[in-house]
Amino acid sequence: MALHIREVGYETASGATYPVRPDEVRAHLMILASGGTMDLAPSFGDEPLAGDSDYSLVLYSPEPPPGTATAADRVRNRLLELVSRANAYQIVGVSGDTIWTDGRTVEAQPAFALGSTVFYDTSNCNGNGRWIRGVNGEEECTNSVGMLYHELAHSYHNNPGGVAEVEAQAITDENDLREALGLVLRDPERIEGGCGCPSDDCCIVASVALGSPFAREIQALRRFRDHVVRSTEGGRAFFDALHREYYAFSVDVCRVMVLHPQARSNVEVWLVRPLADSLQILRACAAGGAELQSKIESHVLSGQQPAAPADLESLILELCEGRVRGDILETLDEGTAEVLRILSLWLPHSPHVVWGLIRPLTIRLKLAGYVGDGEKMTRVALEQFSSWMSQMPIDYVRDATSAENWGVTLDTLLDAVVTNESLRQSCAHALAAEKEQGTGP
Amino acid sequence: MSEALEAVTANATRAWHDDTGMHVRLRIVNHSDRTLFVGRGKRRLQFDADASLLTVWLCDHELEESIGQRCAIGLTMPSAVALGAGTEVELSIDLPTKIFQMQLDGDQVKFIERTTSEYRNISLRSAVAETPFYYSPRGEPLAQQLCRWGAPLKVELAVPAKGEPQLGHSEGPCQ
Repeated sequence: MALHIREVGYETASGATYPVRPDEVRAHLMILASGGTMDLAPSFGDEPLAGDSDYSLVLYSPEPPPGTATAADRVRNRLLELVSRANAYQIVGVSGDTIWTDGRTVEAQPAFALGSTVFYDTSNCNGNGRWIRGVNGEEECTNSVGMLYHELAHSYHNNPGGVAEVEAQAITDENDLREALGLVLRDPERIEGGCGCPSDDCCIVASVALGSPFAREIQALRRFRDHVVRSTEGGRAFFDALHREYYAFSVDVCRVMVLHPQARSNVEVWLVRPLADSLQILRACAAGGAELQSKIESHVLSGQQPAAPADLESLILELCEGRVRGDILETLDEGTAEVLRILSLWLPHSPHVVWGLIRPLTIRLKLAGYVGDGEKMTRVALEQFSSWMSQMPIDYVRDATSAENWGVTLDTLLDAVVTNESLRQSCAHALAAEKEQGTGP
Repeated sequence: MSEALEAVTANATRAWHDDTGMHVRLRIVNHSDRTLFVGRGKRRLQFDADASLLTVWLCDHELEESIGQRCAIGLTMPSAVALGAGTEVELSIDLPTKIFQMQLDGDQVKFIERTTSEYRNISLRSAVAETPFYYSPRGEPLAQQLCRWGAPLKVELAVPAKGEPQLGHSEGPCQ
């Protein structure tokens, strides 16, 4: 029986006492003992630890034993295993006025493990809450009990593996508690988290997609971006450039969308949803395969937005050139007109955004002209993909990598992204000139 | 460093000690023509008792540690304030009277009591960037990504002792 709660504060050199938070720890363990249901668990309690008055001993003996059938059962079972082990684990609840050995605050690092002792912030980031990355790609709230359970998972496994592996294991365990509490699960491959919940998000796509039916699609694209494209040096450099351009104006667009619901709706229908479909079409082209035609047709059809202006393509192209026609602005609500003005101001100076986000939109619009002729639509899609790839703005990527690796950088990026062999060859051919010249189109 | 990042200025407009702790109000102005992001959360505190210097880090610069150590995992992302083109923001940096720092003496854990009112010289370190911090799962270790986010933004000031006139009221802004 070996889970101990630190009850007594630490004496400091000046004779003062550093107070610890045993009651918060007790409350958090009680939530685990109830499997997240918040029901009292009669078999849960504690008593003074024999031989060490600084600690109390956690008692937990549910009958019957919980098993592992449900997430709540697994949480309770984990607690039972921890209190039943021969090894002793100490839990120390700390407050928000604590800093670790290197001066890091609990805001920057909410927990600290030392051998079998876990110190964790019970203040929930001084009352500001905390967020983690959900499997939906969004920032989801967590709390101190979630953090404690996560840290106990590390202690339970005591795995000496790499950070990614160890964290994925603890997050997978943490997800039992999140499921039991009815919370969105945490993405085991994303270790991000932070202080504040909700945090300020200033991404246009994230703002629009949050909670929407196509959020899953956006998340799939994010994963492809982060785990495939950005796994290469060239992909990272490209997205560094794209993000710099994008965040120059996305906050302004988000602010308009908050104030003007019609603008938010139009951004979703005209830009974000078709963009999700457009990128899925390009991804399908890059992957190839037997079902390519049906995938392309499906995304072209689902991307049809009857509420969008008939001349959306020309509107988008004009925005890229820094123009927006007065007769169009007159027909729009104030918020949407402001969004278009912002885009017309920034897109001409944002080649990576135009290539990566805007140009795919125009490809999908072009493909919409071939509805009913799937073969031709697929042929045109592949041609457009090849043409699109050849126009990738590569100046920054080239400058961000050493010159001698330049060709390798592009090849590696293509290898990661374009697994459709015939398309891979045509893309390589299209980019060959740029590689030799060392300049972008 | 891009020109945009150099176009951010910061100065302390108010600073004081009182019964609740130490307080600084920092005015940050974005003179560039684009939105920029400035670190605003308290990430690290460094106390130098001999120099009566407290360095408050609102970013993770100069802190690239071995992430193989167990204690280094679980780092959080820095929070940032979005600062529109040509706009300004006031950041509030408040620290309690007492802060407790963990120290390790072999396997023994100790805590040192830090009294913020004993620190008159304050160095505020933040980061200014063109994007929020964005974690790259397939990139270098998180600690290194955090360390490299943004260009440094530094403000140094002397905080009047408790009971003395507040900086910014009778003395004016301090660079």
